[in-house]
Amino acid sequence: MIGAVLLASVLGACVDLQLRGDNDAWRNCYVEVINSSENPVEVAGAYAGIGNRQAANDWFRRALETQPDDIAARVQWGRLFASVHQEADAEALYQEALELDPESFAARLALAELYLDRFDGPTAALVTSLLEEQPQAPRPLLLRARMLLEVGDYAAADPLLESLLVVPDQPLAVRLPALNLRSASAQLQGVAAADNVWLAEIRALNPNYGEADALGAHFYVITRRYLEAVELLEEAVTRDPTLWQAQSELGQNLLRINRLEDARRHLQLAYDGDPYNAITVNTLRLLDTLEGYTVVRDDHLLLRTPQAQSAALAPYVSAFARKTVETMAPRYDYSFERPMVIELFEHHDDFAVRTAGLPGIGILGAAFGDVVVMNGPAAKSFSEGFDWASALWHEMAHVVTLNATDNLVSRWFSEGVSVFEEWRFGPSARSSLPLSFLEAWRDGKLLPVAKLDEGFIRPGYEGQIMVSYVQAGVVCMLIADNYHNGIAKMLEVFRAGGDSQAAITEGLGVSPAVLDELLNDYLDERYQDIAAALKEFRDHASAAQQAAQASDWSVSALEAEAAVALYPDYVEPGSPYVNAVLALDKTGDLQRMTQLAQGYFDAGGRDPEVLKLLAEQLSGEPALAVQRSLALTVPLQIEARAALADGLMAAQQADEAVGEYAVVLALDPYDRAAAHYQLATALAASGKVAQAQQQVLLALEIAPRYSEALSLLVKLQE
Amino acid sequence: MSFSRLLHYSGGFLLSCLVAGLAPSALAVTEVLIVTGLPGEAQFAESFTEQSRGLQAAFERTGAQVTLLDESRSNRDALAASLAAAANRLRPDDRLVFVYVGHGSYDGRQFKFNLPGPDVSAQELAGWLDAIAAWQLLIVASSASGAVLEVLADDRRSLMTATRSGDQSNITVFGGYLLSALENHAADINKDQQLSLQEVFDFTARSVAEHYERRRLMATEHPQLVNARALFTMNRLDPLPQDPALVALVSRRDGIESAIEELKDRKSSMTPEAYFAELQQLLLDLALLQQQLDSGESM
Repeated sequence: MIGAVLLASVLGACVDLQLRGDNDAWRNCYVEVINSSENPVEVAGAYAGIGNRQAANDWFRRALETQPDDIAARVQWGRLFASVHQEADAEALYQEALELDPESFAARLALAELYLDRFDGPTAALVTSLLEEQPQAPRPLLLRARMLLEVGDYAAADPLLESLLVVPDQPLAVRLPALNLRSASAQLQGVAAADNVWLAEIRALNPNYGEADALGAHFYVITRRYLEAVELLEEAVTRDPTLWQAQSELGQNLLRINRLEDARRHLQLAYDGDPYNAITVNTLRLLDTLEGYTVVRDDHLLLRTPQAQSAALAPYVSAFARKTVETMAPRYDYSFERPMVIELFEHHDDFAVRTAGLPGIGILGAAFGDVVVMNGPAAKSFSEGFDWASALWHEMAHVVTLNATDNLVSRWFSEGVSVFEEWRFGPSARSSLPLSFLEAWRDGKLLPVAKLDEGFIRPGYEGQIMVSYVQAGVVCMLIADNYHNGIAKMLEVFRAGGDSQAAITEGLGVSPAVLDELLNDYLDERYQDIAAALKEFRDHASAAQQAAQASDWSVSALEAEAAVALYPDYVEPGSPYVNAVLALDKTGDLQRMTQLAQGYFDAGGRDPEVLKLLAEQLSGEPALAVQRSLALTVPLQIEARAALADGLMAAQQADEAVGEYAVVLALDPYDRAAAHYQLATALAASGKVAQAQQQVLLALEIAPRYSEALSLLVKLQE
Repeated sequence: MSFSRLLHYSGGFLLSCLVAGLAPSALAVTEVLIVTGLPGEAQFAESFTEQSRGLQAAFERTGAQVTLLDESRSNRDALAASLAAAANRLRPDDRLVFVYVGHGSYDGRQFKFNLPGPDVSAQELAGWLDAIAAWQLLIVASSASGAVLEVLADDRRSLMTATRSGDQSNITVFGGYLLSALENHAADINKDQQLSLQEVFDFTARSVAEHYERRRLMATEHPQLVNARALFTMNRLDPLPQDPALVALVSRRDGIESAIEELKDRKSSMTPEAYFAELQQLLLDLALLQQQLDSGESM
């Protein structure tokens, strides 16, 4: 960072000494500048070099007071802000510089570096324009090389880097980062550390230069190889314990492999050295939150949930984990060697910090190899479009595909298998393709399978990520249905280091174009009529919605049913089934309402209101099936869990009812006495008299005059 | 102007006893005054009238005589006169329950009860209430009612409001749910067939929260209960017996319940086994008594 700040200044010599790790010499060099220079920008830079940010800040301010139009001072001051994670302040100064000189190379370069890690940021465009002006400019070349390495384009990156390394007398502030990137490229291409000549040169220049290992870790992190990333980051901070960014990243990645205590230690070190890093602070706070979570373990699972939700969620998650191990993993020739780790968060921002260190990310779940972190049902509701159970099954499929390939599976394929698993084997199995996907297909906007990863990594239009998810899911479904053991065979190729092209050609024995054709044929056959009628579908659905808002239930039902008839499989959020069912309930046409609600349920729809109405109209096992789904969909809703418990008691399935009533109690119901009593009745019915007696006493402790409980107490004595 | 007086007996001999707190003396009196204010907007008039009359009926169904200053009678002078009369009548052991249903407004400094004619400020009401020696329960079921919490705070006063501050100025649904809670068995958490002030408030607050959740709306009211006298009884859900023999059973039942409460106080100093054994014995005794009460038998 310092090298970048002071590259072109008279402090170059100090920077050179600093990069060589000659501690006394570089400090003396900076102090000499501070004592002798009359240029306030140089003095500021020297203070920044020795880490006295306050003094540096004062001197930059002083510099601009005397030279208000000084662009270089603004840019370097901005870099000081960037070094303490105040990106907004840094950008403001760069923009001020660009207002003074819209063509300022230094300001545009600084801006490009500031947003390097934002995939959707301005860096790529800025680098292109900088290199058009100065094709040999070293820093833009370094940026371009790094971006090429991030997408695995080693063939393009390596010559760029080597062109910098052959320049004689290249300043160390350029040579060392170039060596660093070239070494990382070699590492990504499988060159062992012992054979990595670029790494050897770095070590010879400065044995304590941990940045080399930290950069290598960065490339592992973005390809989800967290174990390898942690190893390199540990090496980085061993070589240079003052690499606070690396300490922080080590902490974050230790969390991703479930080493919480080690993570806290490194995050604390990072915080002590750099208290301005929001990610470090947020993650430390998150660890405090996690300490209050309940941990449940079984043979297949380590589960962390908020304490109050554990009883309601653990049985479901445990059953999912068992099913994953026993049925999903064998589908893909994988067998688990250790329990998976699942964390279900109560608040979306906690999940976001756990995933990315910062609140505000849009995703709902993430899998880091064995570790799945996701929003729990309290963080996002079904009405917000979040079906937590289906999402959990999706993430568990990632655990399988990531582990089966040592995290080498491509993004599109891992997502595709997860989506396919949701549709075919998940808790709300369905064949409902979202409207946005059908529109993209109709408009010719689907990517060829060979390029499908781009739809996830660098989307070209709004909504393309979601379209890519669905496309990947359909492709994986077609692979599963048309190629015996096709998914498992492709995973095997990925595990051996093959890319998507190789996985398809070697795993399936066809070219990617064959899959494109298969996809188009499938969509043509099944969805052509629906895609042609999307406007009509939307018009009916919208009319149904409007009529419902005006309480015109007859019209709402009519319009919604017309939409359902056009696309009967559609059970995504906003499905017209929901409108139809609610409207028919209002009009009192319970027979038709039940028919439609059953159709929605059978198609995989799980809207809680619809399921509740349906369950009320059914009896026996069909009612229980709906109540079970409802309880799974809204597992923290006491009413749903109590209704299932009551249904189980009515069906004389007291053992299962005991579990459900216990959940009701754990969810802290308003009427705790009644909850204890109901649990007691189920325990009594399942022959557990002593436990029943204990529960009835607990009911009566709250409500001594509770007549039903008193009767049960007497009965239990007989 | 005067309003009704409810006699309350600590042994619980009333047929039905709405707002019957546990009285420190045998002949303590509870008086109820319901005031209907202006609706703010015409569309709410019907609802406020219904709530006021519903509350009146709820109290009266238990045998009480309740005074309602409805919109045709409620104004600043009538309210002042009613409270002045109460100040003359009520003693320190007595109780006053004051309920306001209607529009309330808060300008950042003063809360006002919007009555026909001149409004009454919370400060003015505080002055009139300060002159009353009795313990008081004030229920303000209006918009912005949280603004009265500070102004009307007093050790002798429990305050229940629809909102938590004066800034919550939207129309409230609190009054309707309060009415519903007053006669709802589901509110009787300890199943003693009496609804305490705390039980009524908890059930009402929960119903209000659910009202907004069900409609997926941001809650614009958060009911408050301050300085609650938790054991103050708002309603009895079943009549007490008049047969002296059954009355004796009730008295014995009260004795067992007191013993259970004492046992619960000692719980932390006992082993769980000893505690639950003793609790079970008391409960079995209670069950026997309850069977006799339910069948109308006496010993």
